[in-house]
Order: sequence, then structure tokens, then C-alpha cells
Amino acid sequence: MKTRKGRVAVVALAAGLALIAAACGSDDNKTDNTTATTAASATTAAPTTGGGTGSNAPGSTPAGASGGTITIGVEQEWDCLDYMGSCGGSTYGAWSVLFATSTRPFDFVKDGDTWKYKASNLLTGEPELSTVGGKQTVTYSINPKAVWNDGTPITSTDFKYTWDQVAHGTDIYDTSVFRDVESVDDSDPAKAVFTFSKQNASWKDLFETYGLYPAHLLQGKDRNAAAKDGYPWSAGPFVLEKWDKGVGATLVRNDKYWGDQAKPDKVEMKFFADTAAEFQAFKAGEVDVIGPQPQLDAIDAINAGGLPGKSVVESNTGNVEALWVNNSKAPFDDKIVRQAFAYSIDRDAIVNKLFGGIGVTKAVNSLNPPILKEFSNQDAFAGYKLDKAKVDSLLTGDGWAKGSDGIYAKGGQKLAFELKTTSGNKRRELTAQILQQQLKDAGFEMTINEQKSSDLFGQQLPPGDFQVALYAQTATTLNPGLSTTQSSINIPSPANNNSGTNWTRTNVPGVDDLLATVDTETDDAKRADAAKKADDLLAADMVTLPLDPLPNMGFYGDKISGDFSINVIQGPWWNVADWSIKS
Amino acid sequence: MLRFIGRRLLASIPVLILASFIVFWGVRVTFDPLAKFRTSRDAGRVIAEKTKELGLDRPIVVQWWNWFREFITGNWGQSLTGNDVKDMTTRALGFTMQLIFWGMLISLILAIAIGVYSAVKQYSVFDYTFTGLSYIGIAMPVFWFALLSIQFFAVGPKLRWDLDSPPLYFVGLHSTGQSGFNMDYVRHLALPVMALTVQIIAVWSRIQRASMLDVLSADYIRTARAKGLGERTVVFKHALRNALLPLVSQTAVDAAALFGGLIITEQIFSIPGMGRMFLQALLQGDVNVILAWMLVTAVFVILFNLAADIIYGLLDPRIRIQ
Repeated sequence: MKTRKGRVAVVALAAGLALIAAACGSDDNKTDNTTATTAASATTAAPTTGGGTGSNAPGSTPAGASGGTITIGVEQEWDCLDYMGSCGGSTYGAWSVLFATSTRPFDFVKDGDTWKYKASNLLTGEPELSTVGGKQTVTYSINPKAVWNDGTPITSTDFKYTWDQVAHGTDIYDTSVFRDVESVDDSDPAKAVFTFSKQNASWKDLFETYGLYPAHLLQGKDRNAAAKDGYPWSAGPFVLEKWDKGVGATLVRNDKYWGDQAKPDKVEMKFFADTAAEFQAFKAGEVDVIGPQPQLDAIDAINAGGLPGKSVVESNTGNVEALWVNNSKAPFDDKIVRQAFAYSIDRDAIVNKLFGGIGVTKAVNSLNPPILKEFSNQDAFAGYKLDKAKVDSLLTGDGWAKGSDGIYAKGGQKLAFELKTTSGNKRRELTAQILQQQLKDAGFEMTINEQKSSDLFGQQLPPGDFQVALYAQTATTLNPGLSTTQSSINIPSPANNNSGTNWTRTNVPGVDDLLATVDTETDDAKRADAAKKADDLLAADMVTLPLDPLPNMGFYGDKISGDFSINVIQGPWWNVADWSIKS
Repeated sequence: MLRFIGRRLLASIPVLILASFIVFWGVRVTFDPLAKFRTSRDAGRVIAEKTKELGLDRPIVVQWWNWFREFITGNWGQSLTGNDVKDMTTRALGFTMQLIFWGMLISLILAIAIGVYSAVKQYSVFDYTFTGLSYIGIAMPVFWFALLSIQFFAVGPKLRWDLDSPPLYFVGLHSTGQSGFNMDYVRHLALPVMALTVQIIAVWSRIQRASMLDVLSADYIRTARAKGLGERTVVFKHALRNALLPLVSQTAVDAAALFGGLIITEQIFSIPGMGRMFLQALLQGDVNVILAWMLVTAVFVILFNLAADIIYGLLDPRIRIQ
């Protein structure tokens, strides 16, 4: 009995070992996702194209391309890939898929320290801006080589279709970009002529947010249904092969792209829900690139060291995190109190505490982000530095007196207020705590009230149910747009269906006209002059206190080579098509 | 038996209906499903369209009834991001079930083995060792253990020995382009299952040990030994079957709870399962997804408890007769 049982055990063990050996063997011929492949053995699979006219047949890697697969860690999965739909608007979706698979009239390029628009290879040159019949007109001359990935030429009809969808379609996230376009003439396939109903200085933004959509594939169809779960068309260096929800997405080279062919065969995106795991994966080589948000745990991971490859931190961003002050609510309905508040805070010390570990130590001094320095006075708020003597002179001159608890009071009312900010954001928690101490030292009493984002932005800021709020605004184009948040006509009111976004109720004499000039003047020099004057007026009135630039970060592993930099609009992997895998 | 099962299932229906209304109402009053549109420059128009589309201008009971009527006919609605909720839930459930299946299988085998051996060899070095380890396992936060295991079994070895890839992976359940049960899958599964099972094995082995000790001291076990039966027969044929009863109950409760979400494990290992789906829906106030998650979890709780009762009856004929 024992011998028989022993034999059975041995056979079972042998069978188990055989299974394990078989499983091990099945992996030997699989290519690791970060291993370079030679040009002759590219493993790109034929991408799935929904229209059945896919032209990206698998083949050898083009000359000059490195082949292989680059893997990118993405911190936030996008909700959908119909960028103009209400489900669109994801930054990571734009960085990862939109900019790699679409085309637009302008690229964002860096000229020295400044970001500018530059006509892209979609066009034969800069668009022509003219006045026809007293109306502003923009003419795009389309590059005859520009084609979709199925070989169909890109024509003016695609321009018209995209405009028509945004201006007249259903379920559009933001129609305002095309609001002033009166008509589009596509009678000449090589030229798209846009006529505006009124002067619009931001005409270069028309296609920057959504890219161009293919009319020949979508005309008469449900655009949202065709795009939201992934789309087969492309006019960029890559085509979306698949989007495995919750797991990742894959881009493959677009062989029909008329520009420089992408060097890698594939780009894989992997979604991460946890920042610590994201950094671990980068260290372990499971991903080649990551672009985390500038949260404390990301900065801690950087400071802990041991990160391979190259790290890039860009403080010249489109972000401004600020203390947004409700100008209509006590005690901040008094300009003197607002100014005293500003002089009570050492903003540089806060920024240094938050981001000093990555080399960002100075506060921003304009409500326009650093990338719009051309259209702003980036030192407008620089005068507001910690100065307790100034605080005392301002407040005592205004009738406030310091109590025995060190807090100013007037008419029996303490100089107390509530700071609201988003919950679950450790960086903002730390910022609020530092502020609380600094303000207490200066004679203000501040309480902190953390709210869910949906509550803060949905139910409290719009109706003005706040005194001071800590959050960030992000510019997604290179056009200044302060009027939306600082012009008095945009204070929520019945006149605008309570949908205005001047939540701080800013109403400074002269600012409205200046910001209107910024929105409509097509002469950049005049726009810049008006914008700078507006900045100065807003700073003098201390309508809101800018704080930090929320730097962008990118980390690039050892296995890849290329120009590693961060495009302020297109993100840390904007030029992944130009990267190579080191052999 | 069939009548018993039928009665249990029928009794669950009103509970599920009431629970769904409470959750629906709670989520609606807590979250603003239109929050993400309020910061748009075109907020007024978008919000008006979405309010009508989602029926948010109707009374809460009407909103719930409309949702419930669609749900029971198979239309689980769409998420706030326009995805089909049933597809989302099915996909998430697939990932979670893989983790639960392997986690529970390994946990059961190890917990029973450890519990039985600890009881049989009470106060031995093995018993003391695993008692200590159990307490550590129970006390250890899952997220901390998960991150430590990533460092020790993946990142650390890779960096120390300059390997091409880490010995164990920790992102998802497959590498890109891989599928099925193979060594890549095992390498991906090892760490999340380890994180999942460390607390479960700790708790279950304690339950098994205590139950086993209780049974081994029973009169009928003494009788079995007195009859001259071998120790192995006494333990495995007579004692273990009865000692498994408490563990069966605990397993059913824990498995049902796991179906609701392995939130921490799935977050850290980037596995798009039920827990992660629930967390994202909760943060967005996506009521359709939250309700689907709740009802699926509730169904599994009911089924697993029912399964526990059935297995109880199989193991103990006295309960069957009752």
C-alpha cells in the first residue's frame, strides 16, 4: 500500500513538474515589452480598423526607425476617446492618444523660454488672416501630402465637419471655441475658409483642443459612438490599436503618416491607480516613462532617489494654483483686508516647502500662467511679500485692532475666515496648514474646510459660498483667457444663466475693457499691452493671490533615448514618435 | 433542499430592492453627477442637457424606479463616462474572480494545513511559530505588505542583480500581448495573491486550529482512538470534517466580502477589478456603477451564504435533517 501510494506521489510530482516546465517553455519565445527588436523582426500586429479599410499592414520597420515597444505609465485612465464629447477632456487621454493620432493646424513649440504656435505639417504655411466684407477670415491651405491612415486625403471638408460637430452637435463638452465662427467654406478641398461673426483673437485655438475629425468616415454617423471606445482613424504618427479598459492602450506606427515616421513600432500605455506602485514599476523597468502629478508622494519618491534614467521638471507650465478670494464676501469685500492678507503670507516659503525638493522654489506672480508670459506681467503680484509691519499699518488704518489672542478684530468681529479646498489632496492639506500658521502669526484666524471636488466646484464656488478657496487653473492653449474668470460680465448671474465662471466676483474698474481687448484684438502687441495693464490692475486690487506653478514632471528610463522634455500643452511624451530603444 | 434554497432566494428579493433604493438615494444626495461639467466654459448649456438626459429634474423615487425597471430587464444603464455598466461590471468581475479564486484556494489549503498541524502538534515549535506569524499577519496592513512585497520580490532583486526583468511582476495580470495561464500569468499573480492571502491565512488558520483543538478533545475522538484507529484516520476522517464547519462559515462570509472589492490590492497592483471600479465610481458619484456594484456584491453575499449552508449540511448530517 505504501509503495503504491509512493509511486502515485512520484508520478503526480513528475506531472506537476512537467506542467511547470511547459509553462516556462511557453514564455521563452515571447518578446519582453521593453526588449529592442531588430528591424527585420518587428513584431507589430495588424491594427484593428473599424472601417475595414485599414492600411497599416504589418511589415518591416522603416529605415531610420529603432523598432521595439516603449511602455508608458499613465496615472489616470481617460473616460472616453471622443475628445469633443462631454465624456472627453482628460489630460492623460490627450497626452497619450489624441496628440499621437490626430493632426491640427498648429504645433506648440518652444522658442527660447517662450511657447509659441507654429504652423504644423498639416498646412503648406501659416494660415492667412484677413478681413473680408468687414469680417475676420482665416484661410487654411492644406498640405497635399496630408492623408488619413486609410489613404484618404485630408480636405477642407474635414475642417468643416469638425466645426459643424462642435458648433451644432449634441453632447459637446465645450462649444465656446467655435462660438464666433459664422461659416466655413469647403468648396476648395485644398483650402478651408473660416468666417467669424466678430473679432476673435483666439482663432489659433480652433482645432487645438479636439484635433481634426475625418468627415469621410463620420459624416452622417454617430461621432460619439464611433469614437468614445477607441477609433481606427489617424492623421498622426501612430494609430490606436486597442484600448483595454482598466489595463492599458496600444498605439502602433501609422505607415501612412506623411511626416517623419515614428521610430518605435509600438507604444504601450499601462494604467496605474497608485503613485507608489507607479514609481516602483518605473524602477523595475516595467514601464519606460512616467509623468506623475506633482503630489507629495511623487516628490518623496523623487527625493528618495534611485530613479533610473533622466528626470525632467518643468516649472514653465500652464498651471496656476492660487488662493481665490471672494471679493464680495466679508471680510474680503474690503480691499485693505485683501491686501493685508497678501502681505501676511510668505509664498516663496510655501512653494519651497512643497516643491523645493525638485528645484521649484519661487511663487508665481500673475494669474496668467508662466506659459503666457508674453501676454502678462509675470511680476504683477511680486510686491506681495511677507511684511507684518505692512499688515499692521493697513489694518490699524482701516480700524482693526489686535486682540489679546493676537487676532485682529473690528466692531466685535474677528478677522476670521474659512479656507476651502479639495479633500484627499495631501499637497493642498500641507499648504493649508502652513498658511494657517503664517496667517495666525500675522493676526488672521483661518479655519480649513476640505470638500469633495464635485461639491466645491459644483455647489460652492459658483454661487459664491466661500471666502477663500485653494485650487488650480490650467491653461490648455497658448491664448490668454483671463476674461472668463476676471471680467465682471462673467460673475454668475441671471444674465448668464448663473453659468459665469468669475467665481471670485472680481469687479475692478477698467479690467473688463482691457480683457475684452485681449479677447478680440488680433495684433499680438496690442493684446500683450492690454493684458499686462489688466494684470497690474488686478494685482493692485489684490483680487486673488497666485501661489505656485504646479510643475510638470517626466521620468525617462535607461532603455530609451531621445529628446526628453515636457511640452506644456502636449505633456511629457509629446515626441514619443522620435524616441528610440537602445540596443 | 430545493425548497430551502427557494425560500432563501425569495426572502432576499425585498432586501435587495430596499437596499438599492437606500443606496440610490444616498448617492444622489451625496454626489453631484454634473460636477465635472460645471467648470466648463459652456457649463449652462451642458448642464441643462445632461439634467434632462439623466432625468435629474425628476423626484428621487421616480429616478430610482426608472433605473430599477431598466436594471431588472437587463439594461444596467451607462456610467457618467458613457460606458455600458453591465460590460464594465462583467469585465471587473472577471479580474476580481481570478484573484479571489486563487487567493481562496491557496488560503484554504494553507490555512487548513497550518491549523490542523498546529492543533495536532499543539505547543510545538511549529505551533508557536505560526501563532506568532498569524498575529503579525492579522495586524499587518495590506497596503504596507503589498508595497513591501513589491520591493522585496520585484524591484529589489531586479536592481541588485541587474536582471532584465523583475522575478515577479506587479502591474496587472498579464504582460502586454500575453494571455491565458502561463508563467507570465503566474509571475503577475504571485504578489497580489500573496498580499491578499496573508491576512486571510492568518485568520483562517487560527479558526481552524481552535476548531480542531475543540474537536480533538471530544469524546467520540477518544472512542475512535480507543478502537485502535490510526492517528491519521482519526484526524482526517473523523476530526477534520467536523472541525471544518466554522471555517466554512467564515470562508463564505469572507469570500462574499472579497467579491465586493479588493480595493487596496487592486489599486496597488493596477488590477481593474470590482474594488477599483467601485472606488472610482464613488469618487465620481457615478450612481449607476455604484448600484450595479452593490447589487452584484449583494447577490454574491447571498449565494455564498447559501453555499455555506449547503456545505454545512453536507458536512454535518444533523444539520441536513434539521
